[in-house]
Amino acid sequence: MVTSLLIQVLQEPAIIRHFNASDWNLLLRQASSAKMPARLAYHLKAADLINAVPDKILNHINSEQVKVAHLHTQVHQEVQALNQLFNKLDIKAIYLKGTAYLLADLPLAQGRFFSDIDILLNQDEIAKVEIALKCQGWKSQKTDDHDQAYYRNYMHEIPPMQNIMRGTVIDIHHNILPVCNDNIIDISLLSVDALKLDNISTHCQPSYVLTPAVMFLHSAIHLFHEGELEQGLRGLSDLDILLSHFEESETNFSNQLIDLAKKINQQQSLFYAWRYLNKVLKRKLSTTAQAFVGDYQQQAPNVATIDFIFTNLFTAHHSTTASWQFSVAAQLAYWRGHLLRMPLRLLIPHLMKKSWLQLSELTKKEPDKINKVDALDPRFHQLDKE
Amino acid sequence: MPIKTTLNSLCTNEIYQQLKNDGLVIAVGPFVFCIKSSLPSIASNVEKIYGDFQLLSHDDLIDFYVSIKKPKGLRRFIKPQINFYCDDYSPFLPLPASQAFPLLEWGMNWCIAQHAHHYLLLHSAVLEKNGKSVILPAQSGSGKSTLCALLALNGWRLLSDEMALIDLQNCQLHALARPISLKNESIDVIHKQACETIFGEVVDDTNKGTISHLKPSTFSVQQVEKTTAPFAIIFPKYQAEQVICIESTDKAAAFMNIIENSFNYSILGEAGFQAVAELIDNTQCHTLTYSNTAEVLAFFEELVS
Repeated sequence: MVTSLLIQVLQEPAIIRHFNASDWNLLLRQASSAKMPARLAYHLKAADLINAVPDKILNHINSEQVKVAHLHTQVHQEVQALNQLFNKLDIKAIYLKGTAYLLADLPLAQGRFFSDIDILLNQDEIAKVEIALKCQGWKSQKTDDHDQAYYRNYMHEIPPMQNIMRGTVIDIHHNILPVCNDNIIDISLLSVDALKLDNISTHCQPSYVLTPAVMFLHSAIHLFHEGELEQGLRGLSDLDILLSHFEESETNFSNQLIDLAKKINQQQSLFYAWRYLNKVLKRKLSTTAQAFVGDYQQQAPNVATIDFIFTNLFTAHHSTTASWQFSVAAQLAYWRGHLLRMPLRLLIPHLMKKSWLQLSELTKKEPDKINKVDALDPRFHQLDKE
Repeated sequence: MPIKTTLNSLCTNEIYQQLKNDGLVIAVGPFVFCIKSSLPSIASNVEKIYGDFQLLSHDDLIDFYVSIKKPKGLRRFIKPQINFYCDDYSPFLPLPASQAFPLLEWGMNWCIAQHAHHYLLLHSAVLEKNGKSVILPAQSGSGKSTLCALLALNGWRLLSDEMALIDLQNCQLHALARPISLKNESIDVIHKQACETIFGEVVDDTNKGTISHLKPSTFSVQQVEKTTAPFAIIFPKYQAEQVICIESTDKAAAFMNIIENSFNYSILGEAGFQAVAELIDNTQCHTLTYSNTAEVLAFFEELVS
């Protein structure tokens, strides 16, 4: 495995002082493919190195930050409207992931792009919220019956809903992992202590987010159950920044994490988080974390295979980092991801049905119609939905 | 000032080899593109159209790695298609292989529109004479490119046919001096104007009809680094049989029109608002309806005299 230049810079930002033009070109390409130009800026600013970045490269980084700032403004506006709706329905909704980092004003939110607004509700409140959202111009993105049934029967969320005017997407969750597996997480253990944010002035009503330990563990669970890891490195870097922040703001954060992981039986995700933060990003772990990782390693299944998958895939997914190991790891991760989402007895019928639907869709299409996109005017191509 | 090496210094085969192997690196206004393609039609058009552009190397900082590639598999042979890539990412659906060069041009526009948010970007032609720059914002089909080509062939310096780059720091216009994309009857109209015009390959049946690219004048490309302050904004509209008609545009209406023609106004937020406000405050704004070439050239001549 060749360590990508992007990872080398994340491990040791000061190496950019010795960069020539081709190093910068490569770094920008790898960072862009990992959706991390703004994250790069975060680390370079923290290390007081931003002045060492050539203007040309800085323009790209700043452009990315302009896009993110625009997204954040939009999200704040959506949250304001959503909070009013939840208040009217007398429902406590908890914001998750990107939206939560932004609302809680965590350092991680700086320059962080995300595509959906994620919220967690009690399962019995979902129907009510879904109808209310539909009345306000949100519609389900999945139109076919198979997809609807897949989400509603087996997943931890309902199909994403999109605002027909603004294009914003909301993911409504009732758990953090698919509910068709044996090991269902008791979500009330995570949501009961949700933090009430003091942001009434900007968002009309208070917003709720998960507590620091739950927030970190959720991020880890999400990353290490994922089958497609194009943005895996950014996910690991998210954990890195969250951990640095909470280790300072919380007392005994490592112990909090271990206790919580035991309570919901997710020690494995915590083990992976610490292990790969250390292995890939060379992060120094606390003594408690080191001891936990050492102990858990004895009982962790298939460590060598999992190491192969994640050490190969936590990199920029770019033509300059391609290798056969990478391709094999990506295939393994894909199947691992599917198997973690669904047991085989459900997965096989699901994939067969999906392939059949895709095949029949393909034969319906007239090939010549495909070219009717207006490539002349760049405005016809919406901004990348990352 | 050191003498710059241009693409003209390479022979046909060298251009083809660079495009085919590591990529040909050229400066396009403030941006540096690395262009890669093994298609002979890309090589011949690039040689014909981009000859005056500055040649750079992989030891320079590069903004965009673009390529035009044939898809893998059977599609290489049956009704061949091509894809545009910005690095590893392909933002468009494939097009027939005959449209390779227009697709490269659109793709390069796309790169700038998606990534250059240190500028206010307008869908607009920009030309300069006597140190006075005129912005011509317009939607497709309004005759903007034809008018732009007419002016460029009559002593005006071409800054851009497709996109105005307005610096957010100082409201100065930056030039691209890219080829002018002409459609359908305009190609003949411009051909008749001057005998020394150089066109790229004429491509039929694109989704905008027949297309050909007019080579920018050597002096426009040589002065591409010269920025200018905007002097006037003219909203042009070609209308057959129409006697030239110039009306002063209300500033608020001009503001709204500029927003409609901007690629990134909404993304820029407050900086975008400030830039448009400053632009409108410092320029005269007119709507122009015309059909006669001599009349319209005389109007522009008088505007900047």
